[in-house]
Amino acid sequence: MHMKLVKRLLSGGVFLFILAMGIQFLSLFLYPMNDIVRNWQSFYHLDKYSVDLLFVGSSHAYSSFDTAKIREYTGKEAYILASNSQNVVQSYFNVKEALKYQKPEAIILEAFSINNNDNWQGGENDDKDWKKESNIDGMRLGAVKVEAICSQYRPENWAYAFFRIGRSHGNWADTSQVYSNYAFFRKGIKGFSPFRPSKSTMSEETAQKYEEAEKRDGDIAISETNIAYFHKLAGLCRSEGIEFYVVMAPMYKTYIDSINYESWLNRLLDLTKSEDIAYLDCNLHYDEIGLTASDFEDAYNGYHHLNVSGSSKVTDFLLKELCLVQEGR
Amino acid sequence: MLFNSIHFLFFFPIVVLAYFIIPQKFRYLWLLLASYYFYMSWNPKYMLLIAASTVVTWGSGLLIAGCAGKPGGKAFPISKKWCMAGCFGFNLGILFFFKYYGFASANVKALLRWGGVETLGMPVFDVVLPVGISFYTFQALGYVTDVYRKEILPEKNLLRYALFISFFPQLVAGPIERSKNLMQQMKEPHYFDPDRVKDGLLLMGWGFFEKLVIADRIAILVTDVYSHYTDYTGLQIGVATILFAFQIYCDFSGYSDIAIGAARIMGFNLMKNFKSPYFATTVSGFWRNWHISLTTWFRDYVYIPLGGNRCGKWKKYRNIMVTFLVSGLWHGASWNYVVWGGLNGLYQVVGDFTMPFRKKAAELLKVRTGCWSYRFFQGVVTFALVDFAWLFFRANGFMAAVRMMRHGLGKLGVSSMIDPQRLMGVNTLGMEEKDFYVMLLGLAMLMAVDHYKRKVDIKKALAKQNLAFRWLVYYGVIFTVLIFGIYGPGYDASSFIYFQF
Repeated sequence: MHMKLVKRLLSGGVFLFILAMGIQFLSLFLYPMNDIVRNWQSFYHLDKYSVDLLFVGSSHAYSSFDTAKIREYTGKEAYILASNSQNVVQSYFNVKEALKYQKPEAIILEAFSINNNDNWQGGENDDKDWKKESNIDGMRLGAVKVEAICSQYRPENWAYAFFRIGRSHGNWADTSQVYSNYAFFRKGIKGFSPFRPSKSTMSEETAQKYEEAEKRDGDIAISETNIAYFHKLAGLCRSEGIEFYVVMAPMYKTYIDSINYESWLNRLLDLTKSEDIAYLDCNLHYDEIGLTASDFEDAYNGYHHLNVSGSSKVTDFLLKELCLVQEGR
Repeated sequence: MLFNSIHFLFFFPIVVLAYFIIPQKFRYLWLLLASYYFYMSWNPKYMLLIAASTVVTWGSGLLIAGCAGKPGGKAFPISKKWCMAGCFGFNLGILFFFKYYGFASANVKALLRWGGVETLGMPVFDVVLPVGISFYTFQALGYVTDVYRKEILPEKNLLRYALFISFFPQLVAGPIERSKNLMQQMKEPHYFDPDRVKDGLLLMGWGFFEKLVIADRIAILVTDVYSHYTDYTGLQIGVATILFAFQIYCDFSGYSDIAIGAARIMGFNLMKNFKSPYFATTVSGFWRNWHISLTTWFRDYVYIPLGGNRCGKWKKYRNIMVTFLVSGLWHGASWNYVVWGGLNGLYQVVGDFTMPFRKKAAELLKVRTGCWSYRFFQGVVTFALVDFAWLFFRANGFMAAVRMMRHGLGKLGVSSMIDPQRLMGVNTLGMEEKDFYVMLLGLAMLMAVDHYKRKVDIKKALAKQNLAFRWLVYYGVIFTVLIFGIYGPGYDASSFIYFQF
């Protein structure tokens, strides 16, 4: 009788294991893979404790900070665990997950993420945001992932966030999706770099659009959620003995002139001062960096991503400012 | 809480796990708690209705039994009949208020206006129909009637009786259980049985397949055609109506299978609700296999008390018509449901009346009625009749059904039958081509299983197979639902059609 029960339990366990494997295999083909997921794959593939400098934040982080250049000048390994529209809530969980595998000397938070869309539960954005999903989907299953989901989704969407097959099962009809995922796996992380600057250069037409844009002088606010998670992130770095910096990537100057940038700057200064953290704002050092319109991407959408030339200048400036080059830290 | 919602995905395993951990004597209390939580997840206020109906029918059961008096003891001073009438009045009164008041007042107003009488200001109540009210009211009234007929003894434990009324797997859409079957099971101990759990899960899996893969997929097409019927030809409306027959079958049978499977996991055996109804060769045969718990309820508590078929031919026909008209009205407070019920009754009356003539004609023409081709022909005719009635059931009101038919007949679209490109252009019916083929495959599978079910017990047949084959079947069902089911973002967990009744 006892043996029979053990046999049944074992059999049930094997059944569930095969089922779980099957679901995992299925989602690998039906889930639309992207660079955010690949970035996590690449991160998990790094040697343990090999990263010296970790960048987190939005797309500005991966379009502004050239990791190869940092390595070349300082001999330090840098990794950018940033993702599209990542806000500081996500950055906090990314750092928490990253610290399970790496012990960087310093963490740099790209400042856009503090103000970025408040896609935390109950925030302005819809709970179902592919950028947020991909960032969480890329994480390995563990306590941090569970915490990230529970903190960033409303309870009714937890299951939605956990089971990516539920979101992507409808792709069975799209053979191109299956093929693209197959290609994704074949390619693997070979040649992947977390540094992905924009490839275009701002055209005259786009610059003209910025010139003609309406001026907005309203205050720029930072949500309570983002403020709270900024403090949590600062606290986490402090408790782990990691230096923490906040860097604002540059925006196109004409755009800055059209908004009440001072209000934004003051809020960020107050916030970083409250945690005694160094804040570096590239927008205040335009001439020093030597930025021109040709250093920005050709897109009139307010994102102001740098291209290869712009990111090179900003990385130089960053290294200089943070004394990484001189001190060789 | 819908069976096809994420909420249920968490609720059910927790309930089952705790059910088998809790000591036997407290399990019914746990199930009662879970059932009320399940029901209150729709609207907590309506808990009062089910609680009131429970208390009144439970009290009535005790009173009715008390009226009969114990041997050697004194009977209660009020008569059984008054108790029964009071109980029926209360329960049907609630049902009438929530379900039929709006319909009745609109019809009274229209009738008075038609008679030239100035209508009096009848009060208007903006109430939402409490989910499952028709189901639990009928289950409760069935219990009271059984006590009245002395077929069962009244339940003395109010909480156990409350569980009988609110048992969550079958609370909102049946099967409408009989006290003789379910009440007894609530007193029996239930032990964890891996085989029973496996059977229950398989049945639930099949139910989800019917609902998510077939019914909800067909719903895309049917909803589009019925909502914009003027954009479609008669032939296309016909195709949609044929598909609706399968949609409602898969939707309701899917619900029943999930309910029966869920109950089975916990050790309860609920009655079968469907037995391959579309393989029936007569309309009465269809009704013997369709929504069996309701059909037998009407047979036992309406048709037989009216005299059944032992009171002469014409009275029998009257009883059939009354039963089916009431059944139609039970489904919804609208004339299209009454017409649907009436049509099904009429089919049976005409079928019974013409039986001798048809038999004679078959003899004269030397038609072999025992061969498969004749039975197939009968099956097709039966399906066509039942399906025609479904048109009234699905349409948004009686007049909408009439308009649809008029439009369909005026714009038959026969030319599309000889134009393969248009005929195959199924995505014009609001469905993607790939989805259409999945639907056809699903239907073929459903029909194959239904056909096989009539001959063998699938559960037993599967148990005889090797482990590899059995697991292949289990994984097949799970992955088919996971991949091809209509759920997830972009779709709201669609309600079961019978929830609205």
